[in-house]
Amino acid sequence: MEEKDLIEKVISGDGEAFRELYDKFSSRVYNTTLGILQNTEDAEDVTQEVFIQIHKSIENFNQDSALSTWIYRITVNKAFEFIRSKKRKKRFAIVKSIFAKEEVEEPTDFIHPGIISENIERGKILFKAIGRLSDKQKSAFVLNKIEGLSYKEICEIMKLSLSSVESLIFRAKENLKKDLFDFYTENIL
Amino acid sequence: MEKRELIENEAEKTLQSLEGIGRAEANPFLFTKIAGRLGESEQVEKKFNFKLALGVLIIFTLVNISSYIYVQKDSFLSDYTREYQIYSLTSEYFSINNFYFY
Repeated sequence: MEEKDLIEKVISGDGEAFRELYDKFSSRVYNTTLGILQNTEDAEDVTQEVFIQIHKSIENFNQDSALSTWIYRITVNKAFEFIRSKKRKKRFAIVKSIFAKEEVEEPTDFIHPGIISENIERGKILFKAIGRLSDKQKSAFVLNKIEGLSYKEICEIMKLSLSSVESLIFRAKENLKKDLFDFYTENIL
Repeated sequence: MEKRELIENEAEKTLQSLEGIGRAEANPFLFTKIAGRLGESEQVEKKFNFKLALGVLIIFTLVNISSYIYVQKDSFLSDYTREYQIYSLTSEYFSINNFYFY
């Protein structure tokens, strides 16, 4: 089905068309959220939110950009909204734990299911470092390195110029190198 | 110097570990959850619309009732006024205490 027809059918409330749209984009949405959030349950929750948002607002999609660009934009925004709300809850949990003497859970090591087995240990270290990047650097890096999108596609998704995206990815790599250098200096050698 | 190179090499290898990363696939039952949530939100929307319609109906009925009462009261007053005017007129003509005796 053509993208335009698919959009029109989803707008008209066609469940089959919505299922088709889900099948076409779910793996991209989930893979992106997983790269940003580094937690399978959180990534599933955000994927749900993304598709509910798509269902609600597809009639406002003006087709200036590709449908995939619009969906990636929603995905990145929802993922960072989720991170912000989780941080707020965490702050509240810390305050609560002071009074209730409860322990706050520490995040566990994340293993991306797509990483080949020989790189699992390195992948864990790398994803920890990715998690420490700024929101914009993380989005650009995940979209480029994990999702495999071109700089041009990332420009459209993040509504930035090509030079800004290049700079974001360059700085992300530099920060990761520095972080990994510090890690290996402290932990291995 | 050798140590630094070794660390840099390790960092670079780790950075390259994303090369050839496969795509992560979502839980196969995720669509069912989404469809369920969409159904729930539609039900909530329907309930909200029903409540909204009911609220509007109640307000409309109350406005109608109060308008009716107001109009009725007004017409009662005007009847009363009319009666009073007739009474005043008749009392002027048929008053016992007038000064004209024929």
